[in-house]
Amino acid sequence: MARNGHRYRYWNPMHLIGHIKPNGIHSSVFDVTFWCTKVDTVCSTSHTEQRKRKHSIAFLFFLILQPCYISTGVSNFDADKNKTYIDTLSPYPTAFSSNTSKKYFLTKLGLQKDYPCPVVAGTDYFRVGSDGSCSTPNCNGILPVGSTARFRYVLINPANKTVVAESLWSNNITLYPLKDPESIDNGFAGRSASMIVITSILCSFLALLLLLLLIMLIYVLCCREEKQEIQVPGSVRMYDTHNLKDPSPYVNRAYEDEPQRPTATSPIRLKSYTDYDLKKPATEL
Amino acid sequence: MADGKGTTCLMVILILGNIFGAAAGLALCALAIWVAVDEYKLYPISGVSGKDDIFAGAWIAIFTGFAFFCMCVFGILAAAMKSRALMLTYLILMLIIYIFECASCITAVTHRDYLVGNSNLVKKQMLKYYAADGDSGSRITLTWNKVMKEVECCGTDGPVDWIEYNSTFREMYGTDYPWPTHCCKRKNNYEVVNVEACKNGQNTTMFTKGCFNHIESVFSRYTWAISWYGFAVLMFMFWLLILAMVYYLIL
Repeated sequence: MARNGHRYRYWNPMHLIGHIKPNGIHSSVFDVTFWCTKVDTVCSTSHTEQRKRKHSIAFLFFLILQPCYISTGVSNFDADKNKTYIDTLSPYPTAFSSNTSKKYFLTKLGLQKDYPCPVVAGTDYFRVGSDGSCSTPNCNGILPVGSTARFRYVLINPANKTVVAESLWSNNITLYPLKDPESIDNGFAGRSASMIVITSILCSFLALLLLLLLIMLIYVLCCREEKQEIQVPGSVRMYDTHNLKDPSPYVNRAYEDEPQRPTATSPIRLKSYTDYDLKKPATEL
Repeated sequence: MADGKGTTCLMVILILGNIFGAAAGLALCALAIWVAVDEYKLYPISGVSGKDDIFAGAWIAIFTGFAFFCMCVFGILAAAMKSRALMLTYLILMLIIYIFECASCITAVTHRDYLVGNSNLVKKQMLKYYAADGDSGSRITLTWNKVMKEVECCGTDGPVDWIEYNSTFREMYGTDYPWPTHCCKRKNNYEVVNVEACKNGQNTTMFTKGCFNHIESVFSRYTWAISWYGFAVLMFMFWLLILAMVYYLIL
């Protein structure tokens, strides 16, 4: 709870949390990013305070394990906050190491001018955990995976390290649990409609084609009859020369003057030409 | 010969059909060459996973397309010469090529479903192989870097993939960079606009859409080229072959 009215108003973490963007990209697995609101106001206000009181700003981080130990870290801090040398009571390396550790830690103690609030395009933020896995007592280390956390700012008297002023608690922030990529099931993804259409139609048409070709071959080899015929039955006047490439009727000129087809009543009469000369008149035999 | 006029009519139809078929076969060959060349350079994504038969279908289609072209030219000859032996040869060879082209179409479309039916396979591969050592790792890393830079995207479904799942990238480089710097916007001289803001997820300084849409659309484009166009060619060839069989019967 802020002690001195409006001077600490901008440290109200509700303002800080209010700038967390709903698309959630800020919340990564090990870090919680939240936004310094109006940081120059914050920083200049506290700068004024510092000149008066030479206090350090510490950023305090709590961890609450869920669901049963929801108030572990909070209650531990509340129990400790009136003691001196609070920055050494729960150093970062031991803060989460076992079930009995205090589950809170202080980080980034320092004067305002050392406080890292980089200004980027109008939003200002402090990134918890940017030191990675570190081992100094008050380093900005990463949080346990998948945990829920709250945080607040505190103002500490540099002389005896007691808590002078503090902001409100933030809301609970749940970090992403880290999933194993082997758990992604990349098996059967389902068949698309086009695959079914193409496969079924092509297979059936291919079968049809094979069947038709087989039937055609069997028909040609076994069942086909010769269709070659003399065009005029009983006549030798005109007959097919059986030439496969160029079938054409051949007219036998010995019977040119025969005007009609021979029948039983008018049989073929053979004629003889003298000297085999077709121009001379013929005699019937 | 019986039915001379009908034979001639069918011969003309067959010759025209074969001319069209030759053109279609040549176009299939050219399209399959385009797919095999892979202008989008996404082959490693399918190659590393072992499901690269879209490209196998493309290679088969190159050969069957060219074979269709040659056989259709032969078919023009066989029809014009009214030769039964040649027509029979034409029919049998065309059937063999038909079978191979069917195989190409079906393979391409089936493997497309395996690969990009949903984003799981691509995502798992990205998490496992990006920034990994070895040949597969380096190929996947180069491919993803190229895609993220050109398409302006990050991760498979979004940058959240990098923080939701453990990955080789996280194990190698720790948690300081939640996602690769290729997810960050860059200036024209290739410098990152703002590394700190990108690390924090500021969406004006990084790409927030996923790359899967682009990858899926590229593989689908390749597949539709091979399978649907091959399907169209085969439908045409089916009727051409039926006509050729009829022609053979009346020859």
